[in-house]
Amino acid sequence: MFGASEYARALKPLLPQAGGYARSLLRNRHDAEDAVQTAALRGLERLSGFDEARPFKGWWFAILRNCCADILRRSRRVRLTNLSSEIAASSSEAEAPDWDSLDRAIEALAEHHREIVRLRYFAELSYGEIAEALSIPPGTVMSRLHLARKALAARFQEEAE
Amino acid sequence: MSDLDPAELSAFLDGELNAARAAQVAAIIAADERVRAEYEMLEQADARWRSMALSAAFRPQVRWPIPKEPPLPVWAAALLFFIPIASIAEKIAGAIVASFALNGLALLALVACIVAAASFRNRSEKPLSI
Repeated sequence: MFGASEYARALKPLLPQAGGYARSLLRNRHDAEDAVQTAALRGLERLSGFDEARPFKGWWFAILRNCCADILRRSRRVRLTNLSSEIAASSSEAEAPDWDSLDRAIEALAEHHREIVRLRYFAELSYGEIAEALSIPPGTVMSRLHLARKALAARFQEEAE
Repeated sequence: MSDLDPAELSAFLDGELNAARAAQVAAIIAADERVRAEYEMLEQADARWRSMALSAAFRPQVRWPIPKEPPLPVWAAALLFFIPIASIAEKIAGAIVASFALNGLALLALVACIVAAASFRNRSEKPLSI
């Protein structure tokens, strides 16, 4: 039985990737921290439903992904009424990655490839863990990730020329 | 490239192939210039994404719920109550035997309380400390 202490210990090494993954979706550190905090507690609540035969990392990142989606939905509603303050808050973030470059690269991808790329690079999930998080076969992960990489490589080449 | 699924180049790059297949794919990459060019292109895209992911990574703090403290066991509370009673009784009785007996009981009670306090502290420190 996977207890609360084991859960907390298993989560600890995943936090940097969790932070990066949430930040890549939400674009600011504060929201990313909120998402990781919510996902950590939600995972604790759902621990009794976790099947230890399945990859823990994939299971937990699926929860984090849903938490990020919740925050995105909320922020879209807020953006309608409070756009200027949100832009000010996100642009004042120290050491922000080059989101424009990230956006351009992501735009080159089909919708179903984007999430695989985020889970592979920001969350550092294996093919099996991505398959678990997205409920798709590992073979599909392999082919989609390859196509996504080819599209990204072509995009980077275009930028270089 | 006929015996190579192009997606296996990505799987090879990610270390997702088994050892035998990885060796076969490595040999194909070394032998076929066209495959090697495609593999190098994938490597460059991979390196660029890794550096972008690295710049976004940070370690968020997780605040765990504070576990409810277990109540002090009834027997420990009774022993705590017994110490001052024993001390007073010794003064009242005055007899040496009674004094030894009461002091002995008080000492036992003190040791039991220390043990109870130590086990209580261990229990409250355990959950969710990462």
